[in-house]
Amino acid sequence: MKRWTERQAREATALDARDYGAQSQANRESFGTLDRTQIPAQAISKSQVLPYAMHRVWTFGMEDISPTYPGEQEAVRSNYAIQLPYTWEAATYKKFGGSPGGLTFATLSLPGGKEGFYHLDFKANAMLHPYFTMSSRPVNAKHLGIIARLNGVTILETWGAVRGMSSFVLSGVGVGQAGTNVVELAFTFPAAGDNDAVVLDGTSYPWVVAHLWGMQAVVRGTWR
Amino acid sequence: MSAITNKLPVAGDTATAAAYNAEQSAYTEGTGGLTYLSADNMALGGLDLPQFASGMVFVAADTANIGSSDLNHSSVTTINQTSPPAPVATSPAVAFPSLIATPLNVAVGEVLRVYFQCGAWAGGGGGFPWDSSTFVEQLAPGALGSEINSSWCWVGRVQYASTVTLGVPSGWTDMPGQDDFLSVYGSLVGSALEDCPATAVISAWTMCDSGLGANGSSAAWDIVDAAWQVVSGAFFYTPTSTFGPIYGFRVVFMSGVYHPYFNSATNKNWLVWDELVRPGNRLEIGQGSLTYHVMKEG
Repeated sequence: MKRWTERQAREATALDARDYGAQSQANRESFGTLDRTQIPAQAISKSQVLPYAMHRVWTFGMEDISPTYPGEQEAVRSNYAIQLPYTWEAATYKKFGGSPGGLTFATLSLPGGKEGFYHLDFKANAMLHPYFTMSSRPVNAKHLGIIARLNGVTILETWGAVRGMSSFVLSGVGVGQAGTNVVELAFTFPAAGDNDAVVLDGTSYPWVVAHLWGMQAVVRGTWR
Repeated sequence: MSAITNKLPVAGDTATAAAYNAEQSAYTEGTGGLTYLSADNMALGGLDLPQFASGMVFVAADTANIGSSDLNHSSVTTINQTSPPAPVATSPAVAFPSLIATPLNVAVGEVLRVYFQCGAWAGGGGGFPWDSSTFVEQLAPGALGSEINSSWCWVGRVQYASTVTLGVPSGWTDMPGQDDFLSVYGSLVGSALEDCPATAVISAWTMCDSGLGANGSSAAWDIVDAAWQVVSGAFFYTPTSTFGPIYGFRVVFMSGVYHPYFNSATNKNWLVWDELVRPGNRLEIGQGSLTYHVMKEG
């Protein structure tokens, strides 16, 4: 039980305005040290908490990630691919042969943040070229890599499994600064191997190597 | 700045302890009696105030099983192909009993996040599950072999119940922006990729080169069941007006196999239903769960 730091008021005590002011001041200054149960429930409510006092959420719909083709990877896209039936206008070996650091396809701006932890959830569907090698030729299994960076620092890096079609939700956490933070999303995959059949794409039949679609992201900043 | 609205004591007044307490209450509990909670106050431990026990960050959250509740794969939801394809819910469909009594309404300034995952088995079609004459293209002019240029998949998506009938969620509706995979394009049905924010896909089978053909060719393929795999999906949404009421969520899968297609009329990538896939192909949904969060943006 906390105590007043000023003399307690008693029955029939003479009290002048300065005494009262001192009592009131003592009460106000002891506010932060009171037992939580002693603070009147109506004195502070959730509605009085300033916006973003504790946390903030930034949500990125499909059109926020890629405005021209909502939800789709549009940084590298070849219309040669659609010379073939039953495929998509997407990244081809001819257009993008893979990159260790990945190709940044979306930059997400997080304005109005504070110092704290930033949690990224990224969801997408992926199409990989269904063909991959498991013969005596050099094995060149196809993987789709996803990389996320917070202010240039990698917070997420993964190889996707070899599937013609798949869906995934990935999470990454980093420490951010006050102000505007930036999340970059990148993807990569192995370049075609020397004896990989798909390398002979020529100019007439460029093969789609991979495509991302249905992408959304949410970032949660948490601080005190 | 707050103000005491009671008549203040002045020099010469006498006051009882009860009267003093009343003054204190008027100050600390009066309407607008305290200024907004500041960062300093929060740092002093305001977070454990009983009135902040819930709702500061998360407005609502719950989780439920979809599909079977065990991992032994003995009680699965089997989805066979139909013509045309139709949505099939996992069994049991998600009910969320708490939402039936108190439906969920997502307000402006809040974020709805739905996550789901389940085990899925796909396959059953045998060696060449599709019409190979349609889907095999020559790798390049003059090449010795030919190549497959498409991927086949089953498609699933999240739906919500907009009503309740006799205590059972009903009025199942696609999430905002999500198409039903039955949009018509010429003789084809499917959905544009840009209309698939709540979609997850499952490879219908697995194929790989098993031959020793010359460079640029593949002498043979192995086409096998995709077998068990984990499916993960999510949907994020910030409504511009109150979104609801929501009496439950569920995941449905279309009873047909889809593949990529470029819609040249609209210059958009689509997923379209493949009616030539062998009927033996099927999808089995095993253990899984669905979780929803409603979170304040700040």
